[in-house]
Formats: sequence, C-alpha cells, structure tokens
Amino acid sequence: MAQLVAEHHQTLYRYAYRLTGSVPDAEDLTQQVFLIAQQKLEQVHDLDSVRGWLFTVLRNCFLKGIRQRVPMPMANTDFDINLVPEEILEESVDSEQLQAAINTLADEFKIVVLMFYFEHHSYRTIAELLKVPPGTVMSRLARAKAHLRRKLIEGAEYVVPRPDIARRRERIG
Amino acid sequence: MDRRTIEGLEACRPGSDDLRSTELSDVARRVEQDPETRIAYERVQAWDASIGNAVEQVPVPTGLAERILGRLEPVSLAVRPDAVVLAHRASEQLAIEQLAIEQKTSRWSRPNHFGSRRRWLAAGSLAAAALLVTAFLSTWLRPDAPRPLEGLADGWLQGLAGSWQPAEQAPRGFALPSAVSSATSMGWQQVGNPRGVAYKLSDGKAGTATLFVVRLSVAGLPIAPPTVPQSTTGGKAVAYWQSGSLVYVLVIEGNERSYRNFVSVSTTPLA
Repeated sequence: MAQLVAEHHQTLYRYAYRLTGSVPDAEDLTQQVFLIAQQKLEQVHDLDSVRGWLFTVLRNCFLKGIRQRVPMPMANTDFDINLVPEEILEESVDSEQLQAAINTLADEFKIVVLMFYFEHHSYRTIAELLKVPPGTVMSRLARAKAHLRRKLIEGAEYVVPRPDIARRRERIG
Repeated sequence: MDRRTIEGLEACRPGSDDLRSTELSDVARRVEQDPETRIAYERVQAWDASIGNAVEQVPVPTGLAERILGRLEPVSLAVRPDAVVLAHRASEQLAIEQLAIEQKTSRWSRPNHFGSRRRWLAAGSLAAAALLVTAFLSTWLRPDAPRPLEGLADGWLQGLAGSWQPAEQAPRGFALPSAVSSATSMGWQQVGNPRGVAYKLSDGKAGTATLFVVRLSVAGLPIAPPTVPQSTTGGKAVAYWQSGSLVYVLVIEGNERSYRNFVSVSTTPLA
C-alpha cells in the first residue's frame, strides 16, 4: 500500500485538484481514493492498469461527492478560429488562471475535458468509460474547449496575438 | 466550418494519430484539402499540447503521502498487560477507526470542522465506546473474570445486516484463515468497530457459523484456534484466536461437536 501511495499520490492529487479546484477537497478526494484502494485493490488483476483504475475511482468519488449546485452557464461555446492563437508561450500559461477557467465548467464537461487533457484518453475511450455515445463526448469536448479558450483569452498576456488583431487593437487604442 | 468538422478537430489528441481513425476520415480529408481547416487543426493541436502540459502543473502539498498513509495504517494495541494502557490505546484505535469510517461514508467535500451536530454525536459515541472498552479490558485481564469476547461478538451479531455480499468479493486484508478452510463462505459484510469483516459460513450440512475478522491486536489470545471452543453456552460455541493484527472470533450455532465441523485444529499457527 505504501508503494501504491508513493507511486500515485502526486498524480492523483493533481487530478483531484483540477476536478475540485480546492486544495483541501483535492486532498480529501485523494485520501478517499486510497481508502477505497485499500479495500478493493484485489479487483485489479493487471498491475499495469492500477493507474487507470485509481483514476476511475477518483472520478467516481468526485461525481458521487458533488454538491447539488447550479452549474455556471457556458455562454458561447462556438468554435472561433480567432480565439485559437497562432502561438502560445507555454511557460506563461498560468496554472491558477487555467484552474479558474476549469472551475467555470459544468461537471459533465469538466470530467470529459480532464479525461482528454489529464488522462490522455481518446474520445472513444472516454465514451466507453463514461458510458455515453461518442458523439456526446465529441460535442462536450468541443464546447468545453471553446469555453476554456474564451475564458483564458480574457487574460491573454501569454498569447501572441495574431498580427491583424494586434493592428486592429492599435487602431482602436 | 461545419460542426462535425469542428468536433472532429477538437477530439484529436495532440501528437496522436486520432485523425487517421475511420470515424474521422471525412475530417481528415478536409484537413488535407482545405487550407483553412488545416490551419485550424494545427492551431488546435498546438493549443491542446500547451494546455495538456499546463493542466499537470499542480504543486503537491508537503507531507501528503505521510498523511494518507497515516490514515490507512492500522494502530496496533500495546502488548503490555496493563488494562489502563490497553484501554486507552483501544479507545484511540476506536477513534481512528470511527473517523476512517466516517470519512469513507461521507462526501469528500464535507468541511473538516467540529461544529456539526453529527460530529458531536460521533464524539459522544466514541466516549461511550472508550468506556466500554476500558471496562471490557479491565474485566478481561482479571484472571478470574469471564471471557468478554463472547459479549463483544454478541454485539457484532446483533449489528449484522440482513444482506451479505458475494464471498468472492471479500476484502483481501480480512481473508478467511486457513483454519476454517473446510467451511464454505456464503457471504460477507463489513463490521464497524473495530474495523473488520463478518463471514457467513456453512459446514456443508446444516451447520452455520459467523466468523468475525477484526483488526485488533490484544496480548494474551491464542495464536491458533483452540482445540475446544472457549465458550459453549446459550446454544452457541465461541472460539477466538489472533494472528498478526487480526483477531478471529468464530460463533457457531451449536456445541463443541459443531465446532469441529468448522475448524481444523492444529498445534501450529494457522491463521
């Protein structure tokens, strides 16, 4: 068990933090995953699949523990090529700003987008794991990513704007 | 760009060959033939790579692994034959077990403060449980005192739920000991305090028994099932022994003869 904790607690915590957006909640969620693992780890027959199994436990715990809350409306989730920057300065993508954007996603969108970005699952695998049609996953993924982009673009200091947009801003200014 | 193309572009993981999948063949064709779609694809890929990296950049609190392990590891009782010390440590263990169970059954998002009514009720039951344990151990350690584990087992029996979970899904940490390998497990369920598991056993005939496997380490118990049960009163035969941090309490509907149908007695530790 100690080895399991040593190997996976950091990744699980990071995932939990992205899901919950809170340090204490992420720690509680991580703890809960290991409590369940202690009791049910015999369900995992293939040691290579432990990480995926832990992720699944974490997602399920998160979904079961969600407070009844009204998700924030995702106003405009249409794809806009102008909101996809040509170049991003990776080192200046702010983790907390990213978290603030993730926090505004409804949970069904948040789960899908984190399974895509954090677990690196294909949309087909996400659909199988969540037991929803692949089309639903594709739709949620596209909408969630468009929403994140809009939120992140509001604090766009890390984005190198397209030259035409920059010129337009200069003229307006 | 149509919605199907946009969703296809957004579904491709950065650096993957997702675009080559048969389901996205029409999107791949557009990327190949339409410059605007190709640019969009390349930008989305670059964006996703960047966000994918950023999403994993979360600082982990110091000492997290230790805190997790601290809540997982069972607390063993001392081997010192001193009722007060044992009772004190047992009450500590009960508190830890209670908190663990409470945390397991509660939502992860519940704040950790001591203001809730439920918390105070839990504290009250813990204090009562601690007193009971103190009384139990103080009595038990007297040489002329009646064996109290039977009483404890009675309480566990009364607390059992009607439904049993399938035997093959029993928790590995509370496995059936080899001493009862001749019996068949009909199911199991969790026991709350101290933490453990109850098994419903059958001897293959008409005999039934309940075996409690609880995480509790107390000095003085035999390290293997006794040749005769420690108690045969009230139509029940009760035997108990210990192995490592687990205590086994076997309660059989019947007498000493029934006991032999369930237990393979050996002179060596079996559990």
